[in-house]
Amino acid sequence: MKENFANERGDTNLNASPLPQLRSQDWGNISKRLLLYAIKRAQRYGWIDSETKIFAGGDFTVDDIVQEVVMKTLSGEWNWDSSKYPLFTWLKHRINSVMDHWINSKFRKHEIPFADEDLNEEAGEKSNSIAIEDAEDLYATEPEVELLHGESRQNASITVKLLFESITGDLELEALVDYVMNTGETRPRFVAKSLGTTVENVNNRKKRLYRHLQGLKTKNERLSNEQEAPNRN
Amino acid sequence: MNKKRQIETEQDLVDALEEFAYDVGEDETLNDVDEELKTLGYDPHAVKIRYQELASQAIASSPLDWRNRAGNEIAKAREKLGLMSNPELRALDKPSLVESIRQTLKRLGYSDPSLVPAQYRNFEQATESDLASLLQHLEYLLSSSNHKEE
Repeated sequence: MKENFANERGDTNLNASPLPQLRSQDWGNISKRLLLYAIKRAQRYGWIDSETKIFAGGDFTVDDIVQEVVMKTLSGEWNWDSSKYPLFTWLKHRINSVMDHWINSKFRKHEIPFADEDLNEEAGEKSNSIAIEDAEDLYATEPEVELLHGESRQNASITVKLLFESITGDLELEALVDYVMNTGETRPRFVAKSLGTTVENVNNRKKRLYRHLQGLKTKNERLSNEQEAPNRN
Repeated sequence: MNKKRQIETEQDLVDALEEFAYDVGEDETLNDVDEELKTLGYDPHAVKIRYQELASQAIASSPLDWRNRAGNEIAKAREKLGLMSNPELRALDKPSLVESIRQTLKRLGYSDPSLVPAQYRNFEQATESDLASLLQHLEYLLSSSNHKEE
């Protein structure tokens, strides 16, 4: 960790403290966005109880994760380098790291045997790493998390079929899904430009798509619970 | 955290769509964020206030601020000095205190410039309380210099 921050006058020095920039942020609003991001990410992988926001099999909530990220960033335990990444992008990456690490620890203890390597330690080191070498690393997912993600990937073709049925009639969503399918592009400003609309409109479509996908997940969960129930009896 | 990716399978498509739909960007309005938080059972205003307070406290005590780092060092030194408060010192008589001070100064080697004022102090005119306090501070310096040597 960098200890020798030069000063707080905003000197453009490699060792300058990020404190003035961190202090000037609107942490109330940043945290709201961050919390929403964390909830949605946990929903995506089916990791939280929709009512309590407690992680499955764990004793921590999404709030706990967001708080840890905010506190460690402001204490300097994790050093945000403003010359490399925008703050919010960096915070989202930290959310991913903490969430994956906590999930790994939980599942490693109870469900998935990762005997060959000390993944816990590796994940911990990654969580505490200061420098992120390049943009790809920022989005990198740990292999063991990929395994967990894989559990939600078994029925891709069913999901696609149900999604197409679900969005039929919403021409804007149909156009969006068609565009993503053909280009792989999901960055809102690029999508907006290509579809000849505004980023705001793309974000509205995004919310509708989220509701459709989340609806499918909830439906799947309910069905699998119903299927499991007779087996338990 | 959206990015462009190759879509070659249905799985790729699901991944891309989910990555897009479940992401939250800075280009989304705060009204939208609030609405979604409400849908998820949160009170956005309460969330905002809670995190503002949390952040204010964290910034006020952050080690990123050199004042806090300096303050921490002072607090540690004070704590150490407090821990070294020896009630037995208060029970010593004046000749014993003076002798202990001389012994401690000798162990400190008289080389530290910060000790010069103490050496020139007129022990005979000082009260027993002052001498006990001086001895306590010298023992603290001795302990600190031992730490540095280690």
